[in-house]
Amino acid sequence: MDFMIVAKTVGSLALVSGVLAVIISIADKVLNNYGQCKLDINQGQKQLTVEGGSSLLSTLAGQKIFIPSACGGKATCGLCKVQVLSGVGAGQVLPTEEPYLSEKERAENYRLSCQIKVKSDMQLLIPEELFNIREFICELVELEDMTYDIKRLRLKLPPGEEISFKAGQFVQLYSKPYGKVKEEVFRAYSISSKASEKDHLELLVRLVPDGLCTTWVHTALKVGDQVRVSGPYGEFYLRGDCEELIMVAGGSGLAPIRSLVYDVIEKGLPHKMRFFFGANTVKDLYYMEEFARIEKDYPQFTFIPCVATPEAEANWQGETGFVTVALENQVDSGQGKEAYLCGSPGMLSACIRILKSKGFTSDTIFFDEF
Amino acid sequence: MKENPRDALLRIDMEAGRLIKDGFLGTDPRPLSEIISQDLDTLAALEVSHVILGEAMRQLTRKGMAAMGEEVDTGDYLVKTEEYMGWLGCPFKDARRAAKRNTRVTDKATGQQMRWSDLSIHLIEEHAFFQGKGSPFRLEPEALAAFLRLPRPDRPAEA
Repeated sequence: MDFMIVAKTVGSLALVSGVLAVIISIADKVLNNYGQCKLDINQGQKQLTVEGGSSLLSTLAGQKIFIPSACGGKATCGLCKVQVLSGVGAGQVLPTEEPYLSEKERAENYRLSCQIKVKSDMQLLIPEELFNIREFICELVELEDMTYDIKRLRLKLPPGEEISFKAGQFVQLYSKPYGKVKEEVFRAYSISSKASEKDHLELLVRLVPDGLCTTWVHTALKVGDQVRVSGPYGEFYLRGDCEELIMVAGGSGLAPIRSLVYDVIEKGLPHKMRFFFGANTVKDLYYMEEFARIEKDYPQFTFIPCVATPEAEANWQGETGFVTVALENQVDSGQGKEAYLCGSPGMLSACIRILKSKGFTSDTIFFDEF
Repeated sequence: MKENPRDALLRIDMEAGRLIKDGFLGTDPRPLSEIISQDLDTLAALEVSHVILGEAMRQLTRKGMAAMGEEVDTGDYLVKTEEYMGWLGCPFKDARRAAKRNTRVTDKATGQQMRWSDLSIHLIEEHAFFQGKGSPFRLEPEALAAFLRLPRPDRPAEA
C-alpha cells in the first residue's frame, strides 16, 4: 500500500515536472521571441535584418561577420569588443564584462559582443578590417606528424574559393564535439603555408595537455574530414622597414615564420633574414632539411637551430643552449633590424628583454600573444 | 547548500569541455562556494593561507621558468616547467589570464611529485579554489601545504 502511494506521488510529480517543462519551453519561445531586429553597422555601411534572441557575437558570425574571440563566447578573453551606440546593449555593462572594459571603453560604449543578446534594433561600430574575415569549410587532405607532439594540417579550400592573407597572420580553427567535449570550440593557429598559395592552408598544431582543440586535432581528426576555419586575423605580418629581419621561434611558433620567410623570398625582397629556432631536444626539431635547403639556395637567409639539451645519441653539431643565448650572442644591435617572434610566453618575454637591451623598440618587435 | 545564481553560471563554464578538456570540477557535486569554503576550513586548521600557498607555488614555477624547460634543482625540490603557446582565461571571469604553463615539482627528500598549471596558481591565490575532487589539477590543500613545507615557523599565517 505504502509503495503504491509513493509510486503515485512520484508519478504525479513527474507529470507536474513534465507539464512545467513544456510551459517553460513555450513561455521561453513566446516571451523571449524578439522577432526580427535591424543591425546598423558603421552608420549605414551595412544594414542587416537578423533573428533576435542570440548573442551579438554569434548573430554577427551568422551574418559572416567574425569578431575575434579566443574563448568562444564565455567571457574569459575579453577580445570580442564592439561599440554599441544604441539598442539594448548600449551603456548597460554586465558584471561579467566589467573587468574587461576600461573607463574609456565604457565611455565609448564598448561591450563584449558575447555577453549582449540581440533583443532590439542596434547601432554598432565594428572595425572595417573585420569585414575581410571569411569562413571556409575545408577538407583535411594531409595530417602529418612533424614531431612527437606537433602535427601539420594541410587544408584544401572549397573549389573556386581563395584566401588572401598576409604572411604571419592566423586563422581560427573550429573543432567538433568529441569525448567529453560536447560543443564546438575554436582556437587560433598561425598559417604556416605560403601566402601565394591561396587554395590551401597549412597549420602546425602542438598537443597541449588538457587542450580542447589540440586534443581534437591529435586524437579525433582524420584525413578527409571537413574542417571549418575563419580568417585571416592578426597584426603579425611583415613591416619590412629595415635591412634585416631577426626571426625567433620555438615549437609550433615556427608556423608564421615559415610563411614570412617564403613571402620575402617569393616577393624578391632584399631583406637579410636570420631565423633562430629553439628546441629543448633534437627530437623537437622539424623542417630542418627544408630550412637548410632555403639557406643553401638563398644566401640572404641564415638558419640557426638551437637545442637546449641535445640527446647524446643524436650527435648534434649545431648550436647548443637556449635560443635566447644565441640571440644574445649573435645579434649585435637593433640598428636597421626588425624582430619577429613566435613561441611560448616565457620565450617571448626573454627574447623581448634581450632585444630591447640591444636597442630594439616596441615599434620594431612584433609577436603574437596566442 | 544551494548554489547562488552567479556560481551556477560560473559552474557551467567550469565543466569538462567548456574552457579546458577535463574541466575544473572533476566529479565533485558540491556547489562552488562549498568546495571553496571547505578547503578554506582545512587551511584555517593548518594556519596556512591560500595566498601563501599560491605564492610558494609561483616561486617554484619561476625557478622552473628560468631554466626554460630544463629540470632545475632548487635545493629541496627538482622543478621542471613546460610551456605552450597561448593562454587561458580565468573561469571566474576576472579578466586575468594565465600562460599555458605546467610545473612539475619533485620533493628530493621523499620523491613525491606534484604538478600545477599557472592557472591553478591563480585560482588558489586569488579565489581559494583548489578545483573539485576528481579534477586532474585538483590539489588537496593539506597535501599541498605539507608538500610545500608550510606553515614555516619564520612565516606567520596570513589573516
